[in-house]
Order: sequence, then C-alpha cells, then structure tokens
Amino acid sequence: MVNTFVAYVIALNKMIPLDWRLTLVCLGPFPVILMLSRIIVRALFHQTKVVQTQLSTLSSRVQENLSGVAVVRAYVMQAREEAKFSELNDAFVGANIKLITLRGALQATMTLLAGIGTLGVLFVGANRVIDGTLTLGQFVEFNGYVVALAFPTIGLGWVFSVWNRGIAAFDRVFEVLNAPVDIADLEDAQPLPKPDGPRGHIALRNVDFSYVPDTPTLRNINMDIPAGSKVAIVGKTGSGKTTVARLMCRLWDPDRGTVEIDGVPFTKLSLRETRSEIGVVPQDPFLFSMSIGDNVRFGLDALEDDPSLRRAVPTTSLFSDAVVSQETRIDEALEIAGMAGELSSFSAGLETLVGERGVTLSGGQKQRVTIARALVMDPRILILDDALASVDTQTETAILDHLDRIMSGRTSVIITHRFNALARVDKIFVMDEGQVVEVGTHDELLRAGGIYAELCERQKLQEELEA
Amino acid sequence: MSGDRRSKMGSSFTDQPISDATELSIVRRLWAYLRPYKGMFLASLLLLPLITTVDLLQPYLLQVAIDQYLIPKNLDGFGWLVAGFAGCVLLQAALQFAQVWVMQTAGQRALRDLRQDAFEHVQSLSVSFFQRQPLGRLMARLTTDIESLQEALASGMVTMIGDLITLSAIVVILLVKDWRFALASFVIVPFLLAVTAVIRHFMRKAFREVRAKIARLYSHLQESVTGMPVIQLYVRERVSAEEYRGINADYRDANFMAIRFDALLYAVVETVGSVTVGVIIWYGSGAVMRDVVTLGVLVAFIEYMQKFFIPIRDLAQKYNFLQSALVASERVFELLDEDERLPETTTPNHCPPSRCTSCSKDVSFVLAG
Repeated sequence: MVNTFVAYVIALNKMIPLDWRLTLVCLGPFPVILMLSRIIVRALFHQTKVVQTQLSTLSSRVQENLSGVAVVRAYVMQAREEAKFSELNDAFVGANIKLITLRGALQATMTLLAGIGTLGVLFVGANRVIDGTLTLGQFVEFNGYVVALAFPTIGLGWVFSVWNRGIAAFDRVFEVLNAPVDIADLEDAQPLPKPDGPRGHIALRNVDFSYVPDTPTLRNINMDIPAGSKVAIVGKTGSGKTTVARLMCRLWDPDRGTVEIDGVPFTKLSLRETRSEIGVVPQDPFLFSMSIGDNVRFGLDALEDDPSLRRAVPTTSLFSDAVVSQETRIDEALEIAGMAGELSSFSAGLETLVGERGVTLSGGQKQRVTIARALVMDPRILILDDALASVDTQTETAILDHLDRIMSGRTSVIITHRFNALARVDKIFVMDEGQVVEVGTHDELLRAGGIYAELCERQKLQEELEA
Repeated sequence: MSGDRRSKMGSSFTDQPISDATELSIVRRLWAYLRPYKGMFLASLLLLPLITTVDLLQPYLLQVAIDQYLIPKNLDGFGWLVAGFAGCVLLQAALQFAQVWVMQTAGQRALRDLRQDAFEHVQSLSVSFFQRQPLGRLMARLTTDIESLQEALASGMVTMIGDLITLSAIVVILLVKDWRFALASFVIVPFLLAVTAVIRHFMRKAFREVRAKIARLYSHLQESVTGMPVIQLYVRERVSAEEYRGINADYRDANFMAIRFDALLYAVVETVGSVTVGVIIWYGSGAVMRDVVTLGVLVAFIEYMQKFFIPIRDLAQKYNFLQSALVASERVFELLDEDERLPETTTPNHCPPSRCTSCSKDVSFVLAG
C-alpha cells in the first residue's frame, strides 16, 4: 500500500508537468476500474464467507462420521452417509465455482487496467507527438510511468481481495473470541474454606436446571451430603444423575438455587481452586493421546506449573501420611483403581501410549486410568459418574474397598445404575424425571418399598436370568 | 517420571514420512480424476498460447506505433493500430477469464470426485483401522489435504504452463528481433536462475517445516477441544495454553522462515529486473544512436523484459504450490490405498429371518498389550 502511494507520488510529479491532460486521460480509468474491482471484491468477500461456511459444514460432517464410525458400521448406514456427504460435497463445489467466477472477473478487470493506460498513451499521446507538444522521448517516458503504475495498482486490487479474505476469516475468529464466558470467577471470589476435620460438604438447595429453555432437566433438587460421607445417586437413564454431577463441579450453573461446597455457594468460590479439589471421573472415559503415565499425572502438571493455583502439589502417599515421590503416588493410584496388574502386562508399562482417545485400551481399562487420574490429585470430593460401568462386579468391589480406605475424611459421590455397591454407602438419593424421589440408606429404602426397591428387585431378576 | 517432565497433549502425533512414490506416478493418478473433464482441461490449455499471443502482441504494436507512425510523424491508419491494441487488451481479459474459469471448474469437479472417493473408501475400512489412526490425521486427509490441492489449483498452478509458454515466446521474439541485443538483455538471466534455484531449495525446506508444525498445532487443538471438560476439571487450562503458546510460536517461526525466503526471492527478481532494464537502456540507447536498433524496438524490449520477470517470480511460488499439492495428493492416495477391511465372503449366507442368534465358538481376541 505504502509502496503504491510512493510510486504514485513520484510518477505524478513527473507526469503532470509533462502533460497534465494526457495524465488525466491515461490514469482516469484507473479509479473507475478500481471502483469496479471494489464491487467485485465485495461480492468475493461474501462468497468467500459462504465457501468457508460450506467447508466447515463438510468438515464437521466428516468428523461426525469418523468419530461415530462404529455406529455407522453397526447400523449399516454407510450408503446414507455417502449420499449425505455427496450432497454437501456438491454444494461446496457449487459455491466454489461461484467464487472462481468472481475471482476470474477480478483478474480480467486487472488485465484491463494494465492495458488501458498504455492504450490512452497511444491514443492521445500519439497526436501530441505529431503536433509537437510532446517529444518522442517524453512519449516513451510517459508510457514507462503508466506501465510502472499499472502493476502496483493491480497489486492494490489483490491487496483488497486478500484483505477481504482476511476480514472474512477474522470475523469468524472474533465469533469465538467474543463468545461470552458464562462460567467465571466473581471479582471477589473466595478461596475454598479449609475446615478442620472432614472436608467436602456438598449441598444443593432448591436447584432447577435446564439445558434447553422450558424443558427442565432438574426440578427443585435438594441434597445434603455431609463432609466425609459416601453417598450414591441412582435412577434410570435420563433421570438427571449426570447433570447433578456436572453442577457439583460447576461445568454448568443452576438456573435457580445454589450449589454449596463447604458452606459457600460455588459461584462465590474461586472456580479453578475449587475444581482442583474435586476429582471427577466422567461417564465417558476420555484419555489424551499420550502415555498412560502422562494421562494419570495430567492434573499434577497444573498444580506444579500454574502459579495462579494456590494449591500445593500433594506429596503424601495415598495410603498413609508418609511423604513419597510422584512416581510412587501414580503407582498407588493405579493400584487403587485396579489397573496395576494389567499395566504390568503391557510391555511399555506406564509409557504405553494411548492411541487417540485411548482407543487401544478397553472401556474398563480406560475407566480405571481416569479413576487413577482423579485420585492422584488428592481431591476432597470424588465424583464417580457411572465410572465403574465397564468393569466387572468383582473389580468394582475391589476398587470400592480401596476407595473406602483412602476417602475417609473426604466425600465420595457414586453415580450408578448398579445396586451391588449400594449397601456400603451412607445415603442414597433416588432420582426420577429430574427430581429426588427417595432418600435413605439401602435398607431403609428397601423397607420403604418405593421406586428403589422396585429397581433393585428388577435388577436382581435380570441378573438371575442372565446367570 | 521426574518432576520436570510434562505430559504433552497430542505428543504421540507424528506424521508419517512421505513414501517414495515418484511425482510422475502421483500425477498419473491425479490425471485419472481429471480424465472425465479432459475436454474442459484441453480447452483451457489451448487458450494459454492464445493468451500469450495477445499479451505479447501489445509491445509489438507499441513498437510499430513508434517506428512506423510516430517517428515518420504520419498517423494514416493509426486508428487501426489503436483499435488493434484495444482489441488485444479486451481479448486478453476475456480469454484469461475463460481460461481460469474453465480450468478451475474442471478442477473443482475433479476434486469433488476425489473427495467423494476418499470418503466412500473410508466408509469401507474396518473399525480397527480407525483405532490405529488418530482422528485428526484422517480428518486432515479428507479435508485440509484436499483443500491444499484446491488452493494450488486456485493459485493458478496450471497457468505455470502458460508462464512457460510466455517465457519461451519472449526469448524467441527477442532473439528474432535482434539477437545481440537479446543476448545482452539475457546476460543476467543465468545468474537469476541460479539464485532462484538456491532460494527455492531453502523455501521448499521451509514450507515442509511449516506443514509439519501446523499438523502438530492441529492435533493439539483437536485434542484440546474434544477433551475440554477434562482440561477444565483438572484446571489445566493455563498449562495447556502455555503448551499451545510454544507450538504456536514454533509455527510462527517456521512461517517467518518461509516468508523470509519468499521476500528474498521477490527482492532478487525485482533487482535483477531493474538491472536488466538498465542494461537494455545502456546498450539499447547506444544502438539506437548508431541506428542499429529503432527506438520502437528498444521500447518493445523493455516491455518484453518486464513481462519476462513476472512469470519468473511467480514460477517459484507456483512451484511451491505444486510441491505441496503433490505432497497432499500423495497423502490422500495413501489413504485410498489403505485396504484394511473385514473379509467378506463372496457367497454370503443370508441371515435366517427369525431366531437369529449369533454364537461364538473358540473366539480369542487381543485388543492391546
């Protein structure tokens, strides 16, 4: 741009004294053509956006297909997927061809621009040479200037075009940058209180929540989970158990009511500090494509490297108060999670690489690695969201035995639809259609003969049938 | 694991080295996709020499204008010449438009077929293939790699042929016009070719580096986005951001390197261009004085030489696009050659309509380890 400006200043300085009318004739078309190119460029801008949108639709289609590849196979939906892809593919190509047409028009305009200046020099300049107002040398010189200016001007047109492409992309980047952060610390966020004695009291008070407006997922939930207790949340699929877990670690905020941790509403607590004290083992055991050891120490990196987290790196053994190395703690966590035995059968041990999304491990193995990942963090609250669904009942019992030992003085929340483990917990919340319908111990609930008793009975029957 | 060792997201991502398939074999496979549209391709290729002709006619007309009309100061029939010049400009614009449009439309359609083929091929691969392949890499094959082919196409990679025609035409025209003068003008060209060859070598390296870095960037990004809830729950946002900062910086540095060579090339060509025009004027003005060369020829020479350097500069760039297009298509073809499917019998038994039970006999299965 600056280059072009300088070129113009210098050239005009020479051209105008030579013959200002000729200058006007030769350079007159330049702005007109530039205006024309502006119009094309604007259309280009629009079309580029269309193409980019089409491309991202196409990409997300591919992504969806690839991540759901097992489902696509199982339901023999390949042909339908291919047809759908073909449709998007055609639309994308159509949009691209439109874009090409515009680009071609822009290029043609630029070619016109390059030729038209010289044409002006020829047409008008020749007459001047004949009538003697312009020498032949000046005529040549003039043509030199016009040619010299044509290229930077064409460049200017391209700059417009590239600039617009950039702006179109920038717009989209800004959509991300401007997306509101809806879960953030208040300005006067409090540190998590450190009560003496057991820690990890959780209370949900009159909580309403919906993912989609007007379709409530949770209605008026009240739960009181004393520090150091072990509770379970049970209920049918879709009853809202996982949503409760998500509110407990503030992945979402409730629409109404409060979630309190150790007596303070979560929204008033420092978000990251509090989260670092909550170990969540999610339903979907997501692992990163790194070694098993790296996956287990995933959260420790943050405690070690992030000065904004005022939490010391835990150094004591998971089984006792003895100070041990991080390696030992990782081994312990894997042992508690019931993964140590299988790990030793992998030739690379802790260094075994987990393929993307942990695909080389079985579902149960993945779940146990994610449990170990939560345990090394020494959380004051441990939430197992159906985290034992893929392990067999014996392993489940063994893991829960271990957890009993190390979670004393802390709180555990076990979300499950299996009833074997429930005799050992202090309190059970039974959920149905987004509400807590029953609360009590295993025995109390069985005696009450409500939904819990019925679900229990049904599961027992099913197990007998399968056996 | 020592305390200073950090786990790195996406660290297991390595791009496979490119196999040693020859460029020719890649081009041959690409041609298979172009074949259905060969009529369009041929038409657009035939337009290239036409465009060169009308482009290179313009300096010639200027020369005629000077030598036959302006110097004798006689404008009889000069209108025809101006009209001819105007015709050349218009025709050049129109032909260029037609050429680009036809070529790119054909190219787009060929790429659509390739994209569809790749997608359908992937649908036929067995689930175990997907267990070994990171999703990010597969995504790249099906989208960004085909995209970079498209970019190469859009950059006018194919017009390289046109550029080559233009270059050789200019050389021939100048030699025919005045071989001594032409040789004087070209004296610096071998030097230019040598320098561009050297720069191009480094540029190719730099671009390969850029590609490697962006693959790493993408894989980190992909994992971060899919695993975002886990990152947030383990308060690893800042650590991950820090990691990303490093990867991002590497990518930027790789780009800086590539841009540096790009700028260097541009500067060299520009300088050589100016020097050449200087040589032409120095040699030419003497020749004009001695009446060996007409003024018109001198002006035409300057114009031709200016037209000469633009394709030279662009050739280097287009060559780079060609390179990355080849790398990209090679990767896509590798995916197309992937042949891991569950064996299917050619004489399938049909599943009986009712009581369809499947029982496994003596099945053993190893998932990992």
